[in-house]
Amino acid sequence: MIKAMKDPGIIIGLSFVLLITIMGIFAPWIAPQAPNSQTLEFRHKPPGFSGKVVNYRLAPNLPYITIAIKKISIENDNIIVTDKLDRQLQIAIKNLEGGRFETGIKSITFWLGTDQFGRDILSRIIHGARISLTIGFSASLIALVIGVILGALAGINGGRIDTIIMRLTDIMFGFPTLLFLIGITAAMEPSLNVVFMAVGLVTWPGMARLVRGQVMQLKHMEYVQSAKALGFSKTTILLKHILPNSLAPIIVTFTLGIAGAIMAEASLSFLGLGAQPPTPSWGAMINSSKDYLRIAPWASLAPGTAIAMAVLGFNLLGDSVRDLLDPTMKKG
Amino acid sequence: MIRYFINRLLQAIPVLFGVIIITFILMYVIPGDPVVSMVGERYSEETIQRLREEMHLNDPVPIQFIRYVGNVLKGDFGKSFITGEPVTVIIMEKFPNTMMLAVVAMIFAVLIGVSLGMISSISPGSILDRGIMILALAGISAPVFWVGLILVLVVGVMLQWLPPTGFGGIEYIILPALTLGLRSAAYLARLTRSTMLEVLSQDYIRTARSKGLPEWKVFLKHAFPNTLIPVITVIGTDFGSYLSGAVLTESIFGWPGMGRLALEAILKRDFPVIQGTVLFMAVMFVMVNVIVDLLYGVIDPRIRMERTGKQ
Repeated sequence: MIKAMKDPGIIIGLSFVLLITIMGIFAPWIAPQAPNSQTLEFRHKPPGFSGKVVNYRLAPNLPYITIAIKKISIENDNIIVTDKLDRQLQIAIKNLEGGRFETGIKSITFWLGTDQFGRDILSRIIHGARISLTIGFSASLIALVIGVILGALAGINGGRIDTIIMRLTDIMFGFPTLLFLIGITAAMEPSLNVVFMAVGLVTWPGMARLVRGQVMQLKHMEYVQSAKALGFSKTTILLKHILPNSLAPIIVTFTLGIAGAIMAEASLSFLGLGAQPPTPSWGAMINSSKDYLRIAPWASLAPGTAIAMAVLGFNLLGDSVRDLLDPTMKKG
Repeated sequence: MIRYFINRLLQAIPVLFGVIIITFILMYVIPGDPVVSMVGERYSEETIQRLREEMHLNDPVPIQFIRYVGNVLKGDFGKSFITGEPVTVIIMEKFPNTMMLAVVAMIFAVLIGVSLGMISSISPGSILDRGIMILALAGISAPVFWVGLILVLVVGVMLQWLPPTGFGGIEYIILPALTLGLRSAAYLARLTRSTMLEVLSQDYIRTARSKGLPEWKVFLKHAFPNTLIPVITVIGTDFGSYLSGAVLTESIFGWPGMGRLALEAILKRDFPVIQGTVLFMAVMFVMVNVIVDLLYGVIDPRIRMERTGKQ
């Protein structure tokens, strides 16, 4: 533990991962705005921009509308709002958000600026953390399940089963990953569900090879041999003696797999084959704002930084945990 | 040596066969009727049936598969539904661009990666070393498209040193090649550093030092040649995927290569082009890996022995 605290890698990695996890879990509570709420008058505003807006609805059952205001005055039960185009608008105070003047009129600061629809980039990034994390975990989990099952089967049985499974991993490795993913996602309707399943289905061979190697190595250990001599079944030996002892490298591979899956989701969404608008996926955010790179670079750079931080965080965490658990495994 | 070569080549055959099976299956998985996507939906049912018959799409699947394998072995990938051009011609038109980009990117990666790794290994633990290693890790984690956009913005738009996107003279290749090569460079910097540190602690280096060789000579003459192995490792892991189309880099910079060809074919549902490009790229990928393995065998006899021994 003390050793862990001294390693800057694990501290940076862990803090990035924690930050993103907190953002993902508590997104609706910590995001200053709703991720898709548009204020068209505030398009392409730079980071730190503050503006006054009024939140109101036309009737009690309708959704709230946000407009930017230039001037405001109160007249009895109504407010008179002058918008950015000098149009006057009369709104009943009871139709303001919260039913009161103080709750309906607010000044919003866009800490990371706004995109081409006047949406708050910070809020979208916070909500995007949820997507990245969910995809990262579930895709890596699928790879884990398939990889452990096939790797263990190959390792414990050897012979023809081993050859078939290993040839299968060779073929899977024969395809460039991103191309394979593009092929699969293109075959379906683009959506996030397709993305995480595709990533899981494409990235399991790494896990399978790792588990196979572990099993092959451990099955010659004395304690495994004695369990065998005592007549335990292959399954029992595998579950009780071999896999628990391979847990460390499996966890490391799983963690690095999350980083890879987050990157894959971002890449696919960037190409328009993953999350569809207006979903606040980081990759999709870059895709939709890259055409405005010249006038609003922050709209692309902020989600890019978020992706880099998430991937770096999980990579660092995986790397440092590996070094901690097994000092002989040098990082490459 | 020859046995190792032959073994490695034979090993590639089942992989290539698997690749052919997968590209064949891909056609059945992708939704939409190939004929409908070729002629459009305005044609009558009879016309579509006649075309299906002409294209042998009504034959039993195994027969279609055998015909497909036969055509692939002859180098016939069919014709594009959209332009009617043979897929082989289209691929041969785009592949040189991809090849050029891949080679330049790899040259950048090797130059940058090896020099940073060497500098880092001169004084391990120093601020310079740490800085470079953090930079390298950031380079591995940064998304390609993000790096590409930053380069477009800073070098292309703000400084206007190089054209931000497009295709043409030598000035157009620099930004995409840097973007594509960055990850390899970062990875290579880390590998070079660890290789150098390992080598520098060995006996023959101590001998070289004790006989009074200046430090730079020890470094360049005795330690440096060992970085060849990480260089080949990185070429092995990355060059294949460069050749198989840097989809992201090519789409950011508007580079007319294999990656964009595949992406556009997918978006337009141009079945023969998808099948042809995917197959071609996978074959390139496998071949590069075979060649790299062979190179390993040439450079390091231990690897050769170990791998022949296992088979």
